[in-house]
Amino acid sequence: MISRNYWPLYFLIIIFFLIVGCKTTPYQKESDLFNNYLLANFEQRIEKEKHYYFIANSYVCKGCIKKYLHVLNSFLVDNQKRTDIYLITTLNYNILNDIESKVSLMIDKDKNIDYENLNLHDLNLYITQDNEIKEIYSYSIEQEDSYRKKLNDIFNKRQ
Amino acid sequence: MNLKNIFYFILATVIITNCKNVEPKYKELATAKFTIQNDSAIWNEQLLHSLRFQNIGDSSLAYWIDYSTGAFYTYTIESKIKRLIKLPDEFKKILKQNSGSQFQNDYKFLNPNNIGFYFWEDLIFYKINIFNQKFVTYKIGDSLRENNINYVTPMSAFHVPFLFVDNKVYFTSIYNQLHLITESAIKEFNNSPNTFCFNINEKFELNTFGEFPQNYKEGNMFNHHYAYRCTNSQNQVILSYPANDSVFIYTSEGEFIEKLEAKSKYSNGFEPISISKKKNISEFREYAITNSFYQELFYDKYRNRYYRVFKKKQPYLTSAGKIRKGNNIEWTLVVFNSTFERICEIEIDPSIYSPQFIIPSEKGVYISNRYEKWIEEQAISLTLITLNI
Repeated sequence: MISRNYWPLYFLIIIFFLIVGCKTTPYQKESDLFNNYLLANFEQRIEKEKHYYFIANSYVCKGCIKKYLHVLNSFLVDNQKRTDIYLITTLNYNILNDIESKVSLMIDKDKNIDYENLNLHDLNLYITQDNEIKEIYSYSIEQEDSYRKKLNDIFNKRQ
Repeated sequence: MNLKNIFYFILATVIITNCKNVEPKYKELATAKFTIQNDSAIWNEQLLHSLRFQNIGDSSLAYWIDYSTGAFYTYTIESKIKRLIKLPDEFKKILKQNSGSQFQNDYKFLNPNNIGFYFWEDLIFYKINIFNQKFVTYKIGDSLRENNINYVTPMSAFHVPFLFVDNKVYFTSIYNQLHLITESAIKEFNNSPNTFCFNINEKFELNTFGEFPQNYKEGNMFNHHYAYRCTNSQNQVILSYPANDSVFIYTSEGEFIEKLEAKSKYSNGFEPISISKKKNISEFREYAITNSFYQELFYDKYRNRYYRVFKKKQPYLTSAGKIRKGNNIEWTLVVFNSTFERICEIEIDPSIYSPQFIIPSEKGVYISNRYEKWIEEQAISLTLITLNI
């Protein structure tokens, strides 16, 4: 019978799992769901570089969404496409004609985002980096001020 | 008792139990299929949102509007005849002007000669005679101002359409500032009349009636504030609320007659939703899917019966972890006799049928196939069923 002391190995395994555990994002579930959604619908994945995903599903206050999209448009610059900003929408709004040349527009015609368990509000902002979601901001009715403030933060940092 | 006797006893018990559990079913008789597209292969959502169904005389009629041209089409389901109905040129211009706000428009046949159009953003109702091409304009907004009504609006849409009985038009009432909901505002709204009635005889008169049930009056919020309405062969107006087991019967003048229980066997009370959850669209959606509510109420003049749609309680997520789609949300059709005694409750397959359009006809009841099927086939389809009761 071979008798050996395995404790250093056990110790290493525990350390390994602790490191892996510490690396887990607070948005692990959302990152997995969103990654799978992007892959299934747009053959994309969350990338390593920083990106901003604005998401509008169908179960929304449409008046609020129109307003939020107009506000977003007011922060964007004509003839300058922001390749790090994505807009995912299931519905067609007139303002998209203005926005589509300034961001990467992703139309979810099959409305599959509507059925992802992502706790989506009227307008949602996912900030992604290192292949995962780093920050989530959700805006419902009456939250235009905080939405504008967030856009100010984002666009001021970028310039 | 020997083994053989025990076997027979169990067999008899099983047979009796099964027989007792036989649910009333429906039988499919025929499918009606038609297209509302003219030539384009692209599915036109605007046409689809304008689609309505109604019994006119003894015909089951589908009709829709092409807002780009102001054209009004009808399709008689039984005879499969499609017609282009001529509307006054001046009115076509009004239709085209309202093409961008088709959710704020509603219309229906008032009788075989007249169509009523309501533009609830502009608060104007039109009565159009399709034979002599004359139309009358009713300024609902002026009437509201004269009556000092300013915090509620008469609304009509495909899911809560206006009623027309005895030269009177009935609209549901909506709270103008509903997005700014507070507890006191909800209580105020739930304690005010929920039905507008406009008499469109020579004298244009406004009357309001319709009390919310007690569980609403207490200031509770449920999935929505609309009452479903239907009328019967006695020209009575019946109000049905999503979160109440009873229906409320009024005369066409708005006088309360009686409250009758019209309950689904699956109904087990209604949980209100808090204001904070209501404002969070994700939490509200979960509430609306997981809780049970009554939906549309239909009167079947051919059988003197009522059909009340009941959406059952169900889990928010499917086994695949996705939010439940409409074609996976279970509902029943509760059938009542003329005095609202429950005859039976029929389980309808939600993957095939939608409760949105149910049209009683002489041969049976037309029930719309699911929207997904319409999209797949690029055609509107309904199934004629008979209820095995």
